[in-house]
Amino acid sequence: MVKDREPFCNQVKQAEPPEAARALARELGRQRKARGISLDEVIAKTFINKRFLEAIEAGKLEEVPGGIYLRNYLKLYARYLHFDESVVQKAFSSFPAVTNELSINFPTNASDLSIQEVLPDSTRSAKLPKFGEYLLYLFLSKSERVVVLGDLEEDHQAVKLKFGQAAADILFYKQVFTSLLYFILRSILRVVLETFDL
Amino acid sequence: MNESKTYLGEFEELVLWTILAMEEMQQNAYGVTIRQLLEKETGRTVSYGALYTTLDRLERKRYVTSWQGGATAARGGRAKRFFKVEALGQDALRDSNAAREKIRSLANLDPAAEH
Repeated sequence: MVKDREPFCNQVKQAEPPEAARALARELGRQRKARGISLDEVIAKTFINKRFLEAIEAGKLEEVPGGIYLRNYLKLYARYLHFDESVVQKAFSSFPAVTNELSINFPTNASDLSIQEVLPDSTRSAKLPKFGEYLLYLFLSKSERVVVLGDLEEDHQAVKLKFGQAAADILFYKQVFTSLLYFILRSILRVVLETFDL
Repeated sequence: MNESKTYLGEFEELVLWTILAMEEMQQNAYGVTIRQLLEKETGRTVSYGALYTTLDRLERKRYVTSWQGGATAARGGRAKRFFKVEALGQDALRDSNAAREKIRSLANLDPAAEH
């Protein structure tokens, strides 16, 4: 006989969710609709409860179990839409500026997106080619990596929209290989300068 | 104070001018936009490697400063790094330009004739 108990997650005391988190939640909903993805599809792939998803998209974050549960739902949803998970973390930090920056550059028009972006599964290949990304990991510091890969992904997306996946990958690799030499030389130079205490 | 004065490299100078120009045009100067403007105006291919190692060097010399911001979906949620030229950088540009003008006025080169 199972006693009828309130699920633990609903008992978690919630701090008031920050405004940036609400904005992010609403933005996730907007992105989903702009790409023509149905709510059922999100449920099928993320296993997030429909009621919670609807609350999230409406920005009513108090209707979702709070604290770590809320963050995980947002992370799952964000990851499914191919956002970097750090946007969720930033939304919960104390910088309200994040809200404005999140809204500025999202495509608001579904017609801005190519067919490939509308179907979430095929956008798996929309990510940067792994091998190239890995090469850059070897020679860039963490913060530099984020910025450089961000630039490369921006270009990659733009080229993909106009010329297709193959062209985008080729140009990406071209950038990686022409850039690598500079980063490698810089690493070598640093080691040499340190060794000889210059 | 001026014991080890380093001079502006050719590419460093181009990058500085580009960032200054973007400020003038009220555009955000970050990796993608700097590279685009540079390639468009000079007609050379610029790799991110060359650009970022140069920006790194310029920042260490305190000719530019940078700050983070602007994560977008097109970048997979990754932040951008914006740059702006500092007073020290502007001085370096002026010095370099002045030196070039002085020497140039002594030489005599006809503007590009028919080739």
